[in-house]
Amino acid sequence: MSTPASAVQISAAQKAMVLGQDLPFWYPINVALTANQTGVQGTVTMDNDADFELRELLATSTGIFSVTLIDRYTSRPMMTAPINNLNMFGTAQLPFILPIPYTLLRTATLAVTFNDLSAAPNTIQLAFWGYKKFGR
Amino acid sequence: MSAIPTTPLRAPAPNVQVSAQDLPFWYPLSSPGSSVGTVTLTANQTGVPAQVTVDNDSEFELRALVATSTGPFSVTLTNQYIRRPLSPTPINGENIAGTALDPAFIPIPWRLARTSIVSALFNDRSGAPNTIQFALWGYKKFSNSPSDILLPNVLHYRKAISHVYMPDTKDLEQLQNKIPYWWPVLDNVAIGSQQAARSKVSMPQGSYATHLVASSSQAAGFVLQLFDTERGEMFEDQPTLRFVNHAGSAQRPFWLRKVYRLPFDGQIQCRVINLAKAVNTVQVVICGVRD
Repeated sequence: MSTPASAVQISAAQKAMVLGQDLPFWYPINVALTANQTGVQGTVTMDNDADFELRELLATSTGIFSVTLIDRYTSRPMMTAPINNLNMFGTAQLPFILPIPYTLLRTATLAVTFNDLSAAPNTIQLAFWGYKKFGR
Repeated sequence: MSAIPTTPLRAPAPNVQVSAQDLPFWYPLSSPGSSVGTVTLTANQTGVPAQVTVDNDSEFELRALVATSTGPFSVTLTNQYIRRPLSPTPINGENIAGTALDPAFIPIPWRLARTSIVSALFNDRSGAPNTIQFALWGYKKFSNSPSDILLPNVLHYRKAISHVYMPDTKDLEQLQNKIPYWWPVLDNVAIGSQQAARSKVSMPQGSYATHLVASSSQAAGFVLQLFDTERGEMFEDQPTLRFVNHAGSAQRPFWLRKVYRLPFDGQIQCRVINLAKAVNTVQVVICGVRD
């Protein structure tokens, strides 16, 4: 017959849960495009310590651009044609929220193809924000 | 004595589950025969067709509309699979689509079958060449699982963290298995300086309003009154509210706190007074769902 866990045991278990809690995390991609440059590749690979639950898409840039995005783990593109940055990325103030979080397994790679639409040099940072899922 | 659990709280997600998870997806509309994801209009061009076909690998759960353009435009969307338009007349871009910062969420997710074609007819309102990207955003449903996360689409998702904006279950049930629809109750009417305009619209049975949007060509805006002839009720006694307080835009709609059943044995009548000392072109749209 099992006996109820003691207060010490419960406290220890709670601390273990804290160690395993979800970690807010940003995975950035930085690229610099020349005027009207197209087909520039950028990638980011998930760390091997945890799966990543993607929840928000963020970007800053010095001009407008378009991207295509593919999850190389499943080899599935996320669009049928390049999508303008304003239709895909928000900012930290007004992020583009995924109502259903998208899970990327550890070591999965997100590959992005950039196209400049500004006709000027364009410095871009994408940030994929979500949680590292240590609890899984 | 039982041991302190040392195993992870949850088992690792099986790869198969990740492979079948809902995939965020953008379907931009393109001119027929093109796949560039944009549509280009000449100045004042009307009736320019565009379309997108849902991939054959999964159904698509439409959740929001996003668009960018180099000038104002209007659009009529049609689901060719069921051969139903989503509005009786063209809807202004600012009243139907947002951007990634503030997407125009539809009231509830709407499933589009594989190989469905969503078509559009675009009209330029800018008087200049206009390059438009109009995209359907949502999820590819590889798992074919039901949509159990409805809340962010029913009400503005930045307000959804507050319980006061949450509809009850009965409200949600009324919206199920219907198509999103936009009713222009005042359709781009040019109203003279500080003059009034009236209009009306009829709806079929099974129509519900979830939010109001409007656009105005003059910054001074307008005041608005709505009247439900079936119930014999005015939405407000005095038209004292500027439109910014009465109806939002596609980016920030004025969400009703309760789903409103639209009259099928009557009309929604509208009176608008232009507050600008110049001609003001106004569109007022009731957004919701219908059978």
